Amino acid sequence: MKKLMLALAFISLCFAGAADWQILAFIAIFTAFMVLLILYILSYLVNSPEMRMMAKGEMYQVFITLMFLMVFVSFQLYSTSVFSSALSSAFEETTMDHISYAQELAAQMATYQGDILKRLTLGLTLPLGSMASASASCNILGTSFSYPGCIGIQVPFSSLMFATNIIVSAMLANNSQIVLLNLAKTFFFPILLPLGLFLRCFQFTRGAGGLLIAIAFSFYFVFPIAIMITAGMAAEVDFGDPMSLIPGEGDIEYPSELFGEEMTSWEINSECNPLDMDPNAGNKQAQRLVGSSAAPMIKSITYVFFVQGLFTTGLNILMTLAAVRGLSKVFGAEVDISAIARIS
Amino acid sequence: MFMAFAWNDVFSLSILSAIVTGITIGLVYAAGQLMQNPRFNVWAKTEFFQVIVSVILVFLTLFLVGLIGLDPSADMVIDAGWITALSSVDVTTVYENPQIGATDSVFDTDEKYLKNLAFFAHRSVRASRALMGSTDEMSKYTRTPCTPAILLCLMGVNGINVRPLSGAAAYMQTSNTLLFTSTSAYLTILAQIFFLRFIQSGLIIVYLPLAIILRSLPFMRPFGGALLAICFSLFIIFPMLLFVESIFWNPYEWVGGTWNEVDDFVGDLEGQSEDAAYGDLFKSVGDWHFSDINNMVPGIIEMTSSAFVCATFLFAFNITVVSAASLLFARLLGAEVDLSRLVQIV
Repeated sequence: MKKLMLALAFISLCFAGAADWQILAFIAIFTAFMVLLILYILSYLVNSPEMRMMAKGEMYQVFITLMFLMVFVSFQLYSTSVFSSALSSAFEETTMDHISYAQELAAQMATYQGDILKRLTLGLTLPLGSMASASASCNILGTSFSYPGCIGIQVPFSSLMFATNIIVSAMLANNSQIVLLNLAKTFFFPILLPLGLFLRCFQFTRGAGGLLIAIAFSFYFVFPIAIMITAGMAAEVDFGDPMSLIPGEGDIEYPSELFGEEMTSWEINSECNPLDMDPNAGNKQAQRLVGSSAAPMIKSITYVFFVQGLFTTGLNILMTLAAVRGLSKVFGAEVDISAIARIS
Repeated sequence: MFMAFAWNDVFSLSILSAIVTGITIGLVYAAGQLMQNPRFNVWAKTEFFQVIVSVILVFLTLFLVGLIGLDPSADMVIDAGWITALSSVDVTTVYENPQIGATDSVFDTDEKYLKNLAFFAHRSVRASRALMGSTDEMSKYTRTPCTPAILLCLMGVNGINVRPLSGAAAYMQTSNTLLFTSTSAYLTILAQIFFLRFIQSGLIIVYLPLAIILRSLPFMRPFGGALLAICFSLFIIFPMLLFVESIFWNPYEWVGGTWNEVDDFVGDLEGQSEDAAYGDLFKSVGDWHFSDINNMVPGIIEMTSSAFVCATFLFAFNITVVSAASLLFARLLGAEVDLSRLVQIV
């Protein structure tokens, strides 16, 4: 079964057209082979059977490294040829590989999150903050009376401040994903992989080589695929589109920057009247402002930022680091990657 | 300087160490012959081979250290021009703060690259601080139009008090997160610069002659091997990684036009006098209206993310590779080394 799987993976090699990184990787392995060949010849010159045995043993490692390279090339080919049409159709592109697809997904999510943040701030946070700060004051001969009639709005406003914090954290995490995908595409795979393959061919650098291969493979294949899977899973659940549920700019009437310029009486053009003496006025005002659409809006925002934003990002990184840990053993290194895990 | 040394001294000391160790081993061998003790003879033969291995490794390390620009008398030095030649990107035009020169050595290139990262992270810090300051100012100001106007206002201000941009406090609070993240990134990059300077000081290299002796002493071979492995990975692997990464981990390129937008925002706010910057707070902070700042926030977040990944992930990645290299290299020399704790600087 394993041989069949390997054969299946290698079928795509029949259609291989060499990319830059593939040439580099092949040169790296070939250089290692030549170095070992020289060592093997030298072993005859100095009549050292140990050196000959070591060179022979390392030759096997060169062969195994070559097999790894073929597996990577084959994966890449499946991505750029077999799955390309399916991936590209989602973004109406002509060709698209797995990493470009993941980059598009993450970039789209970043734009979407940014738009939600801006809409939420202009449509809800700013009006509620303004109204929550409103109070009426009366000052006669040194005696003053102040009544913050809209103070009840402070409660949803505080929640919005917390929500803004979470949104910014989720955006930070998502943007970090974009940076890591950029790195995977421009550095990890084209540079680290050939270097790792070369280092893996020698006994005393096998650890570093194995780690580099594991990092390159995991960030180039596992990380984008994890993004695609988690994004797909998250999209399966529909909690509504926050953009359609958050009030737009101007939907809620509130004392804006122009407040006072047109004010001629105690009445203000606002959804909340600070002179409303009803003890439950604030609560009622808050209910009126966000009550009807609050539940679906909160659900959708929570889902988009907690689940689609923070949870899936954490999951993607965890899956990738688990792959690095597991694969580094396969490729010849047992390295503690907890330092990288701690950052994530 | 706390401790000065000449590179030639390290070479001389290494040769001297090898000779002293060789003489000691020779004496032990002679004693073994004299006492007809085969254990002495076997030990001496084994150790003589190890001394040769140590000397080769030490001189190889010294040659490589010279190659990356630490030895001023080295004939052949790798410089930034190699990056241009290998990557077909002119490294001298990639960064501006400061610019990398074509003849800069590996260490100089690394330091200049880290300074560029620090500049980027520092701009993120300033952007987060500018966001915090501007939204704080906007959210605090109160407008109280006196009602009814003129006559009754002489007896005291009556009316409705409103802080129209009180909602900007949400950004003010969340800029704490941005400020914390970007400051961590900035400090991590500074730590890397100081770490690089510590390595560049070359003081660890004085341990190399010691390693030759230690590797031949009973029970001290692991320690000697560990010294060699640490010197090799810190002097060669770490600077070389940064050298290669300098062209690929470029946060300025990742954020694209956002850099200029955020740069303008920070420059405008910091460049103006207080009166100009906070002239008409009900409408704007200087030339910046709240809606402009609102549009700026995703860009600041993007910059902060890039600065954070560049600073912390880069350092953690480099130290992980260095620790992997030193672990395996030390094992080859019969020692156990764990450098992963270094990453706790992050």
